[in-house]
Amino acid sequence: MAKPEALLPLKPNWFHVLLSMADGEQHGYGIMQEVLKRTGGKLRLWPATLYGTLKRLMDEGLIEESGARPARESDDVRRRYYRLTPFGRRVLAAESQRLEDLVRLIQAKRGLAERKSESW
Amino acid sequence: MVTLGLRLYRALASAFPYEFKNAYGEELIKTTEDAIEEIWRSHGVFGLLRLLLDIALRIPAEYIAEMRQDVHYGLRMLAGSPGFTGVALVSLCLGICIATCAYSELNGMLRDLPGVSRPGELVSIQTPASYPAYQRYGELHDVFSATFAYVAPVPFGVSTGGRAERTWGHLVTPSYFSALGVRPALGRFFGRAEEQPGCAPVVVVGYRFWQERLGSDPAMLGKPLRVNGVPATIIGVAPKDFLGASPALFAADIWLPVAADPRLAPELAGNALARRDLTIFHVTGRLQPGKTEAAAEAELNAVTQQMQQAYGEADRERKGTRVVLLSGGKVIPIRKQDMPFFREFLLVMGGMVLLIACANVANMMLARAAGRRREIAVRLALGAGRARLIRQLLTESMLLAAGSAVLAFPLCAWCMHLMSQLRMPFPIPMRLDLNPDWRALLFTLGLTVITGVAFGLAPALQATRADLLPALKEGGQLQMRKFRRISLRNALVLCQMATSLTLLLLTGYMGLGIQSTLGVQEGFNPRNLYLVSLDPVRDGYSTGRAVDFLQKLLDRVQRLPSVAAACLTDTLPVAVDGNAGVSFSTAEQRVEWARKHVVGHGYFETAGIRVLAGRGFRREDEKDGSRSIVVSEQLVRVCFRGQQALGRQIELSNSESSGNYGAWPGTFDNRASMIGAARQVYEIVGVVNDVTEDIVASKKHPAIYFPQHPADYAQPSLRGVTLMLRAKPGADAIAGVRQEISALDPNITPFNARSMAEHIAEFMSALKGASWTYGLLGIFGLVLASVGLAGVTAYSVAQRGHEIGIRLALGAQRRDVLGLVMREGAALVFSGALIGLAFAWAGMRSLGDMFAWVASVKGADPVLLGGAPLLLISLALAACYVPARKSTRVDPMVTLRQE
Repeated sequence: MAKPEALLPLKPNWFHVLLSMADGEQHGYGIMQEVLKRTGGKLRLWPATLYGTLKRLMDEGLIEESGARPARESDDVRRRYYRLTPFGRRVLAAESQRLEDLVRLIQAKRGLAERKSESW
Repeated sequence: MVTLGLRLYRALASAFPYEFKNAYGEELIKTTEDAIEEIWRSHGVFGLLRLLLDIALRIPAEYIAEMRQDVHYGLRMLAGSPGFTGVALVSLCLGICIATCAYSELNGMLRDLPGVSRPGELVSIQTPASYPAYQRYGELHDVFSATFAYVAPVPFGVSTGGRAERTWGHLVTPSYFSALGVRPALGRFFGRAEEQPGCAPVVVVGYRFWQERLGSDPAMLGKPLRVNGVPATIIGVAPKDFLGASPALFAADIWLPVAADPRLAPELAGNALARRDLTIFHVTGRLQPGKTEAAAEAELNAVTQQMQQAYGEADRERKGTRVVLLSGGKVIPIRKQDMPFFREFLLVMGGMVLLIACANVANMMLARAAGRRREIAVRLALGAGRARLIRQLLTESMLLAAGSAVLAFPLCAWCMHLMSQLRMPFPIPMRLDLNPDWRALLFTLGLTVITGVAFGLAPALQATRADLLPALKEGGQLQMRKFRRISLRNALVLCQMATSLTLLLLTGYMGLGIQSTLGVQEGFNPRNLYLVSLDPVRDGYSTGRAVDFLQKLLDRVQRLPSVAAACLTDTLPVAVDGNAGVSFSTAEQRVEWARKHVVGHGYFETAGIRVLAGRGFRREDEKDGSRSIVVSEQLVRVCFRGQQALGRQIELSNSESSGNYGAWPGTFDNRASMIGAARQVYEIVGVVNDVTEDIVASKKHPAIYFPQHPADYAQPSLRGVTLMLRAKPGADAIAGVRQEISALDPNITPFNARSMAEHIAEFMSALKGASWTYGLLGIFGLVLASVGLAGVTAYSVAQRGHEIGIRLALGAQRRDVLGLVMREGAALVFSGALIGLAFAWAGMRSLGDMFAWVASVKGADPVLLGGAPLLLISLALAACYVPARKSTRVDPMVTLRQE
């Protein structure tokens, strides 16, 4: 299996889709809604783009189809549920770590700049 | 609105690639149905449009992704079998290269004149005309919107920077540039002022000349240029790429008006513009809009006939066409009846090689595809679409085709570059730009696609047609058949054998035919013979001074210690001389043709031609009014039936070449002494042995030698006056001659100094090149066919491993198994050979008509007809034998255990 680092940095779409599944399985429409809500309406994954992304993630082995289905009354046969593979989870963790490091870097830099402007 | 959007969305969704649709299609629509209301609410019409745009962009992206996957997969598969990939690449590369070369050659010959406006309207008259005839044609204003005439090729001695160089140009009517639609890069072209005889000497120079000889200096305009020793004012520079109205046959670097001073243009001395018998002007016209070539030809014919009747020309009684029009806007004016040769012969040859290469690769692909049956069956069973699998297999073949094209195009460019460099055995600088251009590149690309589909489609269709069940079962090939059906693979092998043999026979026919006729130069001694050309008149000498100079030079050279013998001469042994011929009547009143030589005294001694009776020429024969001639043995045989010829009178007149001497384009001898048709009586003073000197060995021709008169020094042939000398062995005679020339007058520039051996090699180079090309083509076909056959046999043996194992286990002898496998191969080989023989026979018959001039090429050459099939058959059988023999080494236990 490939190293998670080989896939980094992740495309924003990929990251958001993976993040939506971090708490458990999710179907396509659910992912769309969650990303929209999480980004405050800034990022809408349009359906065809979303499924293109899902296909790539499947091909790369980051997600898989989940066998579990919700109660019959809230289920639709045309819907499929996806969840992270262990590898996908590692990739998500690695990307999150990368972003955190980045943020820390930016904050350190900003702090330095602020201190500099104070000393002037 | 929402419903409409959704309906559109569904329609678009059905356009996704099969696999994507299969996996995500329904889900995508379900999700869109869920989301569309909310999108409509928050974004309105814009949202719906954005939704549709999203899917419209996604569809091609999915296709591209799929294709990328196919390419990756294909590359991996190809890299996995380097042997197959290598052979396929080499075959296809050579096939595409040869086909592109053939096309480029054609393209180079049929190219439009560079730098000329609307070249399609230009027509030229095939045979040169006299100036009065040109003027009459020019009056046909309803036929031509413009006409011009020019004399070409014309050598000029042009001095720049104290260095004189022989430069080729045209003598043109002032309408030349305007009728061609060419604009000057600098200055002006000829105008009204240049129509008057005796006008101030002016010259237009070509761009190439201006760059190389005048250092691209714009200040040279209006300055004098010394042409043939006379200063002429440079009035203009022609545009870049423009090399005159006939750039391939006689590229021009300078242009002078026909009204120029005779010192500048000795060709036009003696009131040439008024003479009706001096047919040296190439006539080209621009057709009026809507005028067809046929109509123009008819009118020109009528006018020509009128003129011939009015002025009592010799052939006025002749019926039929007098004027033939050629396309004037092409680099080579090609007659309509010659087009099939150029177009079809080259393309058929190139196409055949490509066909063999394709058949070969298709065959290997089939064998491979059959080997991959299980893989393909599994993918089909897992739900892959057949179309998708075919696309996958086609991607592989396209990859191969594209890879070979990438190699083939530069290879072709290199070959064509070499061919363009090839020097032709003409005294003038013939030059054909064969370098592949964008059209050739386009052709290669088209060819690549066709090739890829041609050899990939059939195997792909066959491979995906597999019945799933037997293919999935182990040992699915266990079918005992005495003979396989006529499968696609067998048909391909058959086709390959047939085309290879056809190609081999045709190329052998051409190549061997040419080879067997090469290098036959008998009757003179080329050893230690050297040639140096001079043209004192172009260096500014008057006729009298030129004659004087050449005599003095000859005397001095003859006294050189390194020189055994020397002479001046106009014609040379072994040379292409277009129309140099005379006709005479035999005792039976038959009109015969003899080759015309104009030679100086001492020619026979210097060249090593034996004088059999009488004498060679002496100095007194060169006086004007002398009627002495020397004839060849063959002429005595033809004309006097071998009886005593010395002292006899014979009536001769100049005539066009006939028989095997097609007048080579551009070798017309424009001198009045060569094309005047008056009959004169001569006296035979000597008989010399025959000289075999043709470009191809053919039957002996009678030859007549005329003494060289002072007028011939004043206006020598295109190669100038040649000083021929026999050196003492080991001496550097040419250096001695150069010293003598510069001692006499450093302004005289010798050119084309070479040995006779070099002269002959140059003379033969084109034919040698051609025979090598044909030989290589044939060998290439042969090798490909053998490789193909070996591949197929190896595959069929591998497939029948079980059957062979069982046969061996049941007690069959290895010999029997070998026989079984070989029988099938042999059946294919022999039937293919038969078909090939039939095709080759038909091809040779049609070629035989086209190549009548290659006299010694006979279709029924037993060595070729017997040898080529034998060679091919034995190679093919050997190709079968190797894998067949391997099959008998099979251990029955091993194969059977695989069950």
